[in-house]
Amino acid sequence: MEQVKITLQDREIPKKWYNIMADLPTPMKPPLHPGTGQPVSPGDLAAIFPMNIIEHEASGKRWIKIPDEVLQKYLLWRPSPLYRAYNFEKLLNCPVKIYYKNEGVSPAGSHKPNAAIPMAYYNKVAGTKRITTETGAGQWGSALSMACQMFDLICRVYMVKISYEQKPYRRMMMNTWGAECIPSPSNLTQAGRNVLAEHPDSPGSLGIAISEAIEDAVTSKDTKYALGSVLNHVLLYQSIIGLEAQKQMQKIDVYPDVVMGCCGGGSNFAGLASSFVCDKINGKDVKIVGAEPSSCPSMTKGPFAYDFGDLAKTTPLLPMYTLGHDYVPAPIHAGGLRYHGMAPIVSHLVRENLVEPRAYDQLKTFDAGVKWARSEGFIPAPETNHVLAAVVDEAMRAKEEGKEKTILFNWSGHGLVDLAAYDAYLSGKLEAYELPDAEVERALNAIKNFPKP
Amino acid sequence: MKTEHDNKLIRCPKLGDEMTFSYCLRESVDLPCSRIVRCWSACFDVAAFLKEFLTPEQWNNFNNSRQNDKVTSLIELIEAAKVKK
Repeated sequence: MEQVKITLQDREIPKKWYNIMADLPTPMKPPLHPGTGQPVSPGDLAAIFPMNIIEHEASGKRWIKIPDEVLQKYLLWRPSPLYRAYNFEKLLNCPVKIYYKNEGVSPAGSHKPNAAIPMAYYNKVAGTKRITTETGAGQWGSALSMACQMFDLICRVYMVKISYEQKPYRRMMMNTWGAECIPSPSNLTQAGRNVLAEHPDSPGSLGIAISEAIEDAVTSKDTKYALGSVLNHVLLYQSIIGLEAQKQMQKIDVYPDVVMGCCGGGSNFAGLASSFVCDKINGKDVKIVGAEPSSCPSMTKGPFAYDFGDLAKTTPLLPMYTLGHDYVPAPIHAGGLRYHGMAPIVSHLVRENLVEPRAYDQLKTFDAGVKWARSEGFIPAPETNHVLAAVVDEAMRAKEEGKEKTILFNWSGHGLVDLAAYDAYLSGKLEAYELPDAEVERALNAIKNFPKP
Repeated sequence: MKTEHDNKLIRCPKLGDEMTFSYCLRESVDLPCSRIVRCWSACFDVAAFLKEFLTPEQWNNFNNSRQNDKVTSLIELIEAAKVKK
């Protein structure tokens, strides 16, 4: 019988968060105030965040103690188990060992409570009585609702109206945890009323919901705002994932060759990866990959061939699925949008060549997610499917290269509240990507003189 | 105005939900979502479609829309909300 789960005792839970800001090889540029052009000061954010959280946002300290009250809540599901995915390995039939952190075991079903709980706690300590936030389909909103209930805070979530109507189950979760879930745009804020005056049938957007949540926080007594991704303090609170994973891998005397996570706002990716990035900065030979959604169809159309890893041809020739190093989807090429919306820390790590971004189209990700569900049993959240596509990709590369690899990735949440997405995929309703044959021919031509793997 | 692409379905990375192209087309109230070209370009020539579909002013605004980092966006929203206080 093979050991599938590597667990930690409650007493072994990490007692400090790790802050990658302390170890960056080059400092990050500070965000600038749009009005003054000067670096943002803590006071600029004081209207929406309590000062204890702002201190974390700006902190350069390597280690920050996790309060006992937060640890006690973490222990409801943490330390989360590290699994070996034997069944998926067998299915892929590649020379890889695959380990994953199962963050789907939290009460809200994802990694989001890792950040929601300390945010609720620090707000409570600072005297906040009420927290507002926005949510798309509800993963963050439900996690914060639970965390606010744990610390006796009132929670109001502005949920994008179209998702409010399409995705009732997370709204019900929020209500069950005692939060108020408002379809946005609403009549409760000036921002919402302005939209409704011009577009009474507006389906809403994340931008409108953020505007409403912030206006509510700024104009209401004893109220603050919480954001579930992108910002430094969010990534700091998520670092417990990677710290636990390091302890668990030490227990079995294994170190990963590749660490992978999916990159939306960067919180689950950095949560697993940041402590491994620290190892890499200190000389460890580990590849760190962030998987993101893209229209780039290189995996489905491109050949496995030697090519440069970047447009500037600065990398050595690498074996990869490629459409040619000069293939860049138009919007990425034009505006550098690739990293917009991703955490500044993650973008910085990419620019420093410490993290390799990879993009996978939606059909490929669902294909990987269904393969996972049919082998390992757990149904992944659709976002988690991005990293599963990256794991499949990495396993195939290992096979092509004839190398054995150990892969560690973050299984960031389950998809039991997202089954409509699987239904859309399984019934063929999700749009398939098509790449003109001429583009494939052009790509093949661009690499025709390179050696073949 | 209806378009031939309206009912095409894609997973929206912003919302974490399945959305039709018609939603992406009006996500920013009067303008398309800032990610629309990136999300849809492999399905059809969305840039060419937008250039035809949008008025010249909308097309210009869409191309010149500013992409702030998160902290800058938050501060702009805070300042706007303070005025409403």
